[in-house]
Amino acid sequence: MKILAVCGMGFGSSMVLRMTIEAVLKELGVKASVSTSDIGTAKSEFADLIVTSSEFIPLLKNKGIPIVEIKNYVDKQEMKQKLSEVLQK
Amino acid sequence: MKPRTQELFQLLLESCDYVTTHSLAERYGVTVRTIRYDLEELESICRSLPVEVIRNRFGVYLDTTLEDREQLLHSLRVPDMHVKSCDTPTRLFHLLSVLLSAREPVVVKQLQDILQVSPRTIYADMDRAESWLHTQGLQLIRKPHYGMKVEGSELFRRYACFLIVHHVLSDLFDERLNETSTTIRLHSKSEFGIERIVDRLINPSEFEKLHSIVHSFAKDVSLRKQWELIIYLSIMLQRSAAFEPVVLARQNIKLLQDLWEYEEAARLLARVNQEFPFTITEEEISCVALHYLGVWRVSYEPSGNPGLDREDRLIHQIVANMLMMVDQTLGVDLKLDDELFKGLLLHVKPMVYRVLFGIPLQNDLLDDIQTNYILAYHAAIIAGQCIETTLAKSVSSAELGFLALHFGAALERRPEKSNEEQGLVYVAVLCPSGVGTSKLLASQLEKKVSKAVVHLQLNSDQALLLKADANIDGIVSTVALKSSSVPVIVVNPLVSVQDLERLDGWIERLLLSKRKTALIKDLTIYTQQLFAQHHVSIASHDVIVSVVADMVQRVLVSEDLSSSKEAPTFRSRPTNTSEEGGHALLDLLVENAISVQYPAQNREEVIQEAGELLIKQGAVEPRYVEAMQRSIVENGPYMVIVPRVAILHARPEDGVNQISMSLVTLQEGISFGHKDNDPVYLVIAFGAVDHDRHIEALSDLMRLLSDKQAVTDLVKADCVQQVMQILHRVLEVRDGEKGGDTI
Repeated sequence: MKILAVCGMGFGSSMVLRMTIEAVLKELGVKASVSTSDIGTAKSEFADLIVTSSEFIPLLKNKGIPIVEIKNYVDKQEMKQKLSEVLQK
Repeated sequence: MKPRTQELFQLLLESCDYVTTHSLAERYGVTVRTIRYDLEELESICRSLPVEVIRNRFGVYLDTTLEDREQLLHSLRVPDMHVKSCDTPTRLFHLLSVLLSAREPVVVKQLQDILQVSPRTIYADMDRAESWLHTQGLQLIRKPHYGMKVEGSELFRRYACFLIVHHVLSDLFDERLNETSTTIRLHSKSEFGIERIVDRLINPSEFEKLHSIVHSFAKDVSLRKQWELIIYLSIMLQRSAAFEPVVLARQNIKLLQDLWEYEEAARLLARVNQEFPFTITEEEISCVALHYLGVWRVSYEPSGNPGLDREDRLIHQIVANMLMMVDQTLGVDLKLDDELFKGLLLHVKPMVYRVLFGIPLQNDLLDDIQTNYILAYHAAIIAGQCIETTLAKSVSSAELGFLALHFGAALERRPEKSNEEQGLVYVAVLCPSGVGTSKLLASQLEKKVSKAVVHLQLNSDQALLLKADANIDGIVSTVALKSSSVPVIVVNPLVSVQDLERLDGWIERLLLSKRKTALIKDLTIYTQQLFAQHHVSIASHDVIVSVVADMVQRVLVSEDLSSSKEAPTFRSRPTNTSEEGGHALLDLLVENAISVQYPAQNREEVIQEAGELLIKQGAVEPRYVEAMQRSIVENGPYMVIVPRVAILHARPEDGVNQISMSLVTLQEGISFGHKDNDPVYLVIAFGAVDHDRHIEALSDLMRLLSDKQAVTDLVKADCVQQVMQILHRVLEVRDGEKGGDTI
């Protein structure tokens, strides 16, 4: 599966976000590729799951892809809980 | 009544409504004037019949009773009355056959009698005939008070005749395919008066005889080729009886004489000569040999080609040379493509003789090929140069287009490395003897390191001889190696846990460099493609710039993907030096990049302060700070990625000179507008030069920020030294833990 970490510009926060996601995926034993993207590109990019902050959700909603909203980009607990919720479905 | 008038009559009877003269002219490919003449003829015929021809602004209509209509239609359908007039293409073949067989100039009046059309129609047909002849390498000379005459080489003239007969008899050939009899009735079909076309160019009785000769002589040749030989031989007999010999250059005949096709042609002509006495010359044999070679068309039916198993040194050499040049220039590896090699052997052989004899070739696909297969066409240009230098003749773009199809297919065929394959490294294992411990090591590796595939087991001597292109990405060794062309890692033969960790990092790095190599290779090809495009049509400067920028972006993104994979879990420091791009947070956050307890009033002031620290280091331009300000307005306050902490940055192109970072702690919490993580007490700003090189610092930053205690301590710190201590405390501990990963 492909997970997209989205932030405003695609190489600051989203990279931090990706590191957190990858760390959590490893703990969960889930195999997935995680890539980063800025919000402009993300609109047209394919993914199975998007992880981002609340402000970008309205812009990505109509892609029809599940979106995980993250408040604290480095909080593995939050990430783990939210990701496992989505991944269980 | 003229055939077309008769057909018109029938058509109008069948139609119950007005028909316009325009639509009739279009239908028969003649001028409206011609149709008017026909209608006048029809009117005069109808005067004696119970039919009235009504012509007005709606068109033409035949007024009659239903019974009379039926009656007339029935009588028109009586076969012996029925000679259909011809459509445009058939009329063109009539015209061409007259012109090609004429020994004296032809005048329009003669053609008018033969074709039964108005002079205007004839002139229009002449233009078509002229351009068709031109594609066959012939000229139509048109002079007033003289007439028209075809000029050009006898070789091409015969082929033009061949094409016409071939086309006109194509139905007959299709029938032949389904029968096995060796005889043929040429005039079994007579439609559009085509037998008259054929009669002008060949002698039907000779044709039928030749049919059985060729059929029994050239059994091992495909039916299609047999058919072509029959047609050509009949034309040859006609032309040679008219004392129209072929003239060919001596040295070209010499080249043909080395081929088996020439021998075959000579034997066939000797056989034909037994039935029809004529003078066999080397030129005549050569012409037949050219038909055997298949120079007249590009065909893609290599099956059953008897030439395949007969080696031809000249062609072999040319093709090998072509592939070498193409590989060298484009940086591809096509010489390994066996299918391409065989395909080219078959294609190039007739092509060489086409070029040699200057035989023209049409390529309707040329435009498509030039636009859609730019790289392939470029390859064809290079390959064409090989032929040009060998033969000292120029190769037409039509020929290049066909060559390009072969290269295009081969380029498409090139094995795309699957993702899975790209994610694997091929290693050789090594022990001093190459037997005992290397086996053990190999099985350990295969069991425990999923990304490594063991390709070879070596001893020390073999390792030294291992070449860089041996498909081995690295060597896992139990002993130290002095020199090697590929990366080496030394491990314990029993592979300890530490060894495994080191192996993981080592393999990640090998993978990274492997991807880079692949990308650079792709980049080279794309660049070549770009230049090739330039060759075809001058691309604008902007296009080139944007394409190159796009390629660079691809390289960077891909690097960033691969390098970051190892970042969160495994700190892979470059083996010996840090010049490979590692920038740890501690290297960047030096004392003058930190500001403590800054008394900001609003978020703009916070960003300004963090930006000033970057500017003071000379790391960014002032406009970078403006871009950071803009970014938070445009993208919203998501950059408060952790409670109390904001990460500030803009894009590399906004004015970054070097990788840099600054840290600001705030006296009072400032609202950034984030609904969960406000207020902000700690700000870290950075400038990135690309997608890749700040990853390590970001990874450190992540460690720092996920340590809540560390964040609290940082916020409380009231001098730069304290901040530094906290940073070192958090980050160096980890370095100490993972210190052993350096190989």
